This record gives sequence, structure tokens and C-alpha cells, in this order.
Amino acid sequence: MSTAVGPPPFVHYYCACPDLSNNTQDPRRSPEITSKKDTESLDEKTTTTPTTSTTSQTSQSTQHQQQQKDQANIDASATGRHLLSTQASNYLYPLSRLYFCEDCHQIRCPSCVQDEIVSYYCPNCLFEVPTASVKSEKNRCARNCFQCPICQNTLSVVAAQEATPSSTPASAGPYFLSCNVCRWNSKEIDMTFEKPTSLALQLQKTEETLPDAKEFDNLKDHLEKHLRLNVPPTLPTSFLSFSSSGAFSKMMGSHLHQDNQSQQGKLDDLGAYEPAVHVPDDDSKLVDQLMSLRSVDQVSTLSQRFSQLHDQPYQLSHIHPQRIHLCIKRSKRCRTCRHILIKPEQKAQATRFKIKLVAMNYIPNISIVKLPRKTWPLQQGIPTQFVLKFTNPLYEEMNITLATPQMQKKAGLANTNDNEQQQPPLPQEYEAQIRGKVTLLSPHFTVGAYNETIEYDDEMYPTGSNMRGRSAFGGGGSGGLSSSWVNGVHEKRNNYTSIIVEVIPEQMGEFQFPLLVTYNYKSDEDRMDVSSGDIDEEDIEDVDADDGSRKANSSMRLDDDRIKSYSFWCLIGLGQVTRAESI
Amino acid sequence: MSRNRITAGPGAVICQETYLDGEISIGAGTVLHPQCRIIAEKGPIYIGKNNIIEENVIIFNKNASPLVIGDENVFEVSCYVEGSHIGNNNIVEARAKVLGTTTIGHHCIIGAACATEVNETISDMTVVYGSKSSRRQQSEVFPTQAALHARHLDYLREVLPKYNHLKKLENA
Repeated sequence: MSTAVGPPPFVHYYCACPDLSNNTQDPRRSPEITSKKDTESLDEKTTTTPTTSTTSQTSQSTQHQQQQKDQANIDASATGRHLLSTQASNYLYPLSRLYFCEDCHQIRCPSCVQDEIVSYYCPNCLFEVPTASVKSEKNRCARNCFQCPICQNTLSVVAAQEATPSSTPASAGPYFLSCNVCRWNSKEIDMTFEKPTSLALQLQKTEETLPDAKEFDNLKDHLEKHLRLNVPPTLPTSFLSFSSSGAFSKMMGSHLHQDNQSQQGKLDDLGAYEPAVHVPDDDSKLVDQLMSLRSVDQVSTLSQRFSQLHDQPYQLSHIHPQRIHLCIKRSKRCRTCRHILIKPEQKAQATRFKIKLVAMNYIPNISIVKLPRKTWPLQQGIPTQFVLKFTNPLYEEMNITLATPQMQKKAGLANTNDNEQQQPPLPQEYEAQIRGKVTLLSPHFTVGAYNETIEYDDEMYPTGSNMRGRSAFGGGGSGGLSSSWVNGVHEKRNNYTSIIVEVIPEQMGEFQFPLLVTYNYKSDEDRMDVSSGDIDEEDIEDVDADDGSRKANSSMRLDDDRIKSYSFWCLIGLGQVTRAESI
Repeated sequence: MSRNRITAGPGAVICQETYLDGEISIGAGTVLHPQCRIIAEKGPIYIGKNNIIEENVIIFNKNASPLVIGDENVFEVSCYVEGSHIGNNNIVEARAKVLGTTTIGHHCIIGAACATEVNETISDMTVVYGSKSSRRQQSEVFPTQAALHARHLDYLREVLPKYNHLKKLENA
């Protein structure tokens, strides 16, 4: 038995990012696939006409080559083999990281959502910094939050002497910073404070007297006049601020029309500059110091040096505690329909979300369950069964159809398209094959709806007719297992269904296979979703005027039902395949 | 296997659920939380005064020579202590490991989840910290540490007997 742990089993979902679908050069996708989302059946579409041909005006032969390539691309993505390529790993995510846009009715991944900043806060004191003062404080906390120069942990403010009952209240004496992890304190660099609050302000006075800062101020004064006349227009942060096309062209025009001549003339106006303050040049002294080092402890490490970017000293004694960087809270938006998917609360202490459209609440959650007495880890050539469990988060029952791509005799296109000439060699990615055979015993099944009473259900009383005549769940003995093979559904209860999948790995290494999951459910406009907020009263009014009578909120309006359907790919990994042990 | 011979000084608080094995001498005022284990397998263990030994601590003496622990130390939860000589006023933080025949001086701090080498001497005022068990010297003892330790001991001596049965051991 091999002792190596190997990669663990996983189920990753594939996000077909819509931004990239317009680029037909992209080997990952083709517009054919996006239109397939609402189809009921999945055929192996190997005979699609090359309508995804490029718009480029190339010669006939290269165009034909391009058509062949597109054909390959379509075939690969039609059969799911594109999921096995190394490129696809950028678009595969576990369910916990995916969002779902209700309007577009599609999965969104972290790459295809747009981030916007909601608020800035300090991770230590949880003080929310108003956006206006963020820039002036250089994105750092303006209060007493500092970072230890040695270990980068938060420093705490400590009084030099203990507060004794006899002395004045509120600990006397100078204050200094101290680190609880590495026991550094600021007395080692002679940094003490009079008051325990607004330490940043007290530090600022010493920072201003540094020769570097004074020199920079002088330089700025000298160049200020010049800068005001000559500043090149920077791009605005958002083009949405332009009220009309006239304003836009004015901004772009002033930038384009400045020719080099006028710029040269303006530069010459600048007078000679003499440095007012002499910044001491310590380099030679530094070299001497470094050469006479006895132990390397006094030299700062890279990460310590990077915390103080403006001078990055070698000596550890020159590194000062820096103020702590602010963190942000982000809200995420779907790029196509601009609908907000995630919106956190403004307050730094609050961890909840105002809007939370996560994929977990919309698409079935797939998990892998190991059957007892089955070989694990997988062994080459030995058929192994395991269970895939589909959990339905919706309030309606859903039907799920699964499909896996077939093994092909040789890597490359199918041979059914007669019009193709000699195939050019395909790019390396499409050599990826599923390393074995995968059999789904029941590719079509239903999963029950979710309701709150499921939380209180006892596991003792199974529902669903499939459990009849079977021993306790999990299959006690071969008798119980054989009955579950009849329809392939291992267990159907509450809001989840488990099905049996059999794999025969044929090669060593990590075993992964793609799976196309299509599900459809009767959507009822009146019903609330797990993640949405309250239903808007206005929305219900507008929906349909045919049915005049308005019943209670929970009524089913059958004339409004639409069968909503969605399909997505996922990649299921089952870990390492080891060599078969001889029994 | 040496017979069980456990002695404790006056004022020591030793809870019933502790596991003491071998020849152990516990100083005055020391507090042993429940679920700690002191195993003097091959050689004796001498523990000094006013130490605090918290839950799930394992103090193990695999060597024939005695393991001497000084005064005013704190052994936080789940730490593992072998070593040969531990000084005074040290703090061995949670899940730390003092391995082999290591010697620890005074006023040291072995940080959380850090470990020492199997046989080294840790000098006074050393702080072992960080994920890579880096070392540095602390320039001075934390000003309130001594007072905090005394208050901690007072609190434990008052509260532990309320919720735990205590072992009665013969005086040293």
C-alpha cells in the first residue's frame, strides 16, 4: 500500500465565463455551447457546421484550417474534454466559491464578477474609515494600530510602570508599544509616547523632521508651478461620469493634440534646482558595518524590509513599526446584467450580507460518498463503485440528467465528418483523455424539494419507494446492494438523491472525469427562494392579470409556471490510482 | 520502573484527575490542573514553587538523570516537556515542545506551537516564536508579568478546589 497521500477527491464546477465567449479564437468554448443550455437532451454533436468561423479575411487554406480547429474546439467542449486540459483549471471552482445570477440564470465565478469597494476598515480596531480620508492617510489606520517590525503582528500599547493604587489613576509614565508574540517593545528603538491615544499623530511629528521628507517638500514646491501647467491628463476612473460625447472628446482631444514641440518649450522653463537639504549618504558606512558583522541576527529579513518601503534598511534597528494597512469590504456584480450578487453590510463588525446570491442556494450540491467494502484508493483495472449525492437547495422538486463523455478511439476529432481533409495535428491540450471508463447507472432521476422541516427529520424513517425491500441504508450484505443496482439510485430521501457510479481506472495517476449536469424544475414566481429577501409586492401584481383573484402568497399559480432548465459541467476527481495489488 | 513516590510542598493544589507516575517532588504553591500528566519514567522529576501546569501538559522524563523545573513557570495547555533543566519565570505556551535534553534558562518564552531542538541550551531571556521557531532575545521582562503570575496563582488556588477534588499528598 502506498504511503503517499496524493490529491484528495473533489468536485469542481466549471464556469463558462461569458466575457470570453465572444472570442472565437478561444479554444475553450464556442457559441454553440451557450445555446445548448436549455436543451433537454445532449447528443454528441460531432457534425456541427462550422458556423463559428472567424471573421478574419484570411486565405482559403488557413480559413479551412481554422474551421478544422474550431471543429476540434467544438467537439472537445461538446464532449467535456476541455475540462481535462490544463487551461480549464483556471475556470474550475468548488461550489463554495461560485455565485449565481438570478436574472441571467447562470453561474458566475470569481473571475467573471465585477468587484466594487464598499468600505474601508482597520482589521485591528475595526474602525470604519470614511472614504475621503483613506487617501490622505495612505491607506493605513490613523489611530493606534501598529505592526511589529520583527514579526508583523499587532502591537499593543503598554504603560511603562504598573498602575499602583497609590499613584495617579490611569497608568502613569511613558507608554510604549509591545508585541505579544515576539516580545519586542518600542523602547528598543527609543520610541515612547506621552499619551496612550492618537499615537499616529505623535509619530507624525518625528516623521516630518526626517531629511528625506523635507527634501521632498522642497522639490515639490519647486516643481509645483511647472506641474500645474503641464500635467498630462490622466484617464478618469470611470467613463460613466461624462455627460455627453462632447465632454468625452474634449478630454481625449486635449491629450492627443499636444505635440512634442510645445512640450519641449515648456520643459525649458524649468530653472535649475539646488537641493536645499542634504540627505546624508550612508552607503559606505553601511558597507563597513555589514563587513564587520558577527552574527546575522542584526540584518533584517526581506519581509521585514518590505514593510518599510521608503528606505528598506539593512539594520534591524532601523526598522520602525508601521501603521496597519486597511482592509476593504467588496460587493460583487454580474458583468452582463449589472445585478448585484454579493453585498456585505457597511459596518466592519457585521459579517452578514444584505444580498447573497451564492450558487449553493441555486444549483445542486454534488458530493462523493464512499461505499463500504469498496476498494479505496482506486486501483488500476478494478471496477469500483461509489456514490454521488445530489442535494437540492430549491423549494421545488428538480429532475437531473447526467452525461459523461465517451471514450474515443484516438485523440482528435471523430471520424464521422466526411468533409474534412487530412487533419492537422491538434494542440497538445486535446490529447487529454479520461483515464478510464465511467458508467452512470442511472443518468436520469429526480431530487425532492427542500423545506424547513427537513432539518428536524430523523434519519430513521426513509422516504421514497426505492427503499422498500432493502435493509438499512448503506446496504447490509450483497442482497441489499443488488437491489439498489436495479435502478441505479442508491438512496432518495428528503432533498437529496444518491446514485451509484462505477469507474474502471485504466491508467496510473490522478483520476478525473467531467460530468454534464442538466437540471430542470418548475419555477413558481410566487415562491420565495432560499437566499432572496422578501418578495416585492409590486412584482407579484404585475406578473399576470389573467387570474383576477389574488390568493395568499403561497398559492401555486399554474398558468405562470415555466420549466426552468440549466446545465453546467463539473469535474470530479477521485484521487490517485494505484497499481492493482495482486490478491 | 521506580515506585510511585510523590511528595508535595505546602499550599500545592493538585487536582484528582492528574496522572502522576514515578518519583515526583512538587514544590510549595504549585498548581496542577486536571488532566495533566507527569511521568517520571526513568528518573525523578523535581518541580519548584509556584508553577502553573495546565491541562493536557505532559512532563516526561526519559533519562535517568533528574528533570529539574524551577519556580514561577507557566506550562500552558497541551505542551510537551522533556528537557533536563528548566529555570525560573519561563512560559511554555500552548502546544509547544521542549524536546530531548534541552536546557532552558530563566525568563524564556517558548511560543505557541514552537519546538526546541533535541539537545540545545536556551539562554536566559530568549523568545522562541513564529511558525519557523525563530529566536530572539527580549530586552526586558514584561513589566506586569510577575504581578500577573501572582494574581493567576491566587485565582487558581481559590477557584480550582471549588470544582475539582484535590489529591492529598504527603509533605516533602
